[in-house]
Amino acid sequence: MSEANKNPNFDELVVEYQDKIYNLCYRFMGNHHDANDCAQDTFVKAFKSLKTFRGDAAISTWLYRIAVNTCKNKLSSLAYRFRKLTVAPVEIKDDSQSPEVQFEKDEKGRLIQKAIDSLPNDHKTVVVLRDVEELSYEEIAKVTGYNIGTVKSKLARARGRLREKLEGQV
Amino acid sequence: MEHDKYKELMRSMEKKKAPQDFREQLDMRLAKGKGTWFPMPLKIATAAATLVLMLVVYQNLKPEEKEVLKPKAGFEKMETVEKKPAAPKVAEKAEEKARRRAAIAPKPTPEKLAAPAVPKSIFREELAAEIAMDDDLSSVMGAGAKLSIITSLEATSEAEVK
Repeated sequence: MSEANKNPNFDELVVEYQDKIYNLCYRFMGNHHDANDCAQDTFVKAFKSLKTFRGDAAISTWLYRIAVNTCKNKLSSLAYRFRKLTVAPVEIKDDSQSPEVQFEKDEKGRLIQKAIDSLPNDHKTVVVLRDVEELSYEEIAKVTGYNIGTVKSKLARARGRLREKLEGQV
Repeated sequence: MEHDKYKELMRSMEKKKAPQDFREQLDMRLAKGKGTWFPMPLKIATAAATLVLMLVVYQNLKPEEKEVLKPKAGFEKMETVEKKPAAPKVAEKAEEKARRRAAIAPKPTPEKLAAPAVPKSIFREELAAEIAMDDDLSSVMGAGAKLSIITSLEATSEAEVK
């Protein structure tokens, strides 16, 4: 029996949220390798502190919060920044569609991801949680620790920047 | 770009899925994490031992006090240049101190004051006589020079007596 299986709640948690957490991490980090690393870290941290989880917030909010903090820490770590400068990330491609459609989709996705990557961390957080993960303002406020008003203003500014960057490109 | 188009664009983004071996990787990490678990008392003990070691090293490598106090070359000049003139209060204090010292210093006894001082003229006359009797001096400095010294000494003593 694996370590994670000893705790059935944790098992359910991983099955239910692994894709969502991975997607969130992917939008934050911009590549598969770092996204996988951060998602793994998120679940390891969750496993370690699951016993101390008080249940004040929804478990999804708690998990998102861990994931966001893990990604932010990773983005600001010296090792990550050094690697980003020296090694280009390798992407895993989905070959289920025709090459033309796949190329167009990849290109569009790449441009959007590039625009998201260029945002500051706080703007990136709110825009990913709202427009990609489709969380409510209240949930975003709980995940980030900002007031709802702050979330809205940050979101408006982040969207404005994204639109500026994507204008004429997509 | 319009908001609707932006929304559509964001929704069109592909939802990435976790890799198929995500769970296996996670199990491996959790198992590995347990193996490297380090108990808290041991952590504290390690931290304390490190601290003691650092202290010992510091004590051994610490420079001596004399070396620290010794001014480095080049700084002496700077210090003298930066020295400000003594404040008037300091000068007043110094004067007062000197006055006190003078008051405390032992005064000359009346016997000492009464004793007559040896007149300088007598001393000069004696010196002139000695020079006159010394034959070696005339060979070294010449008879003329010796005579001139004697006459000048005698003339000075006479003038003093007068």
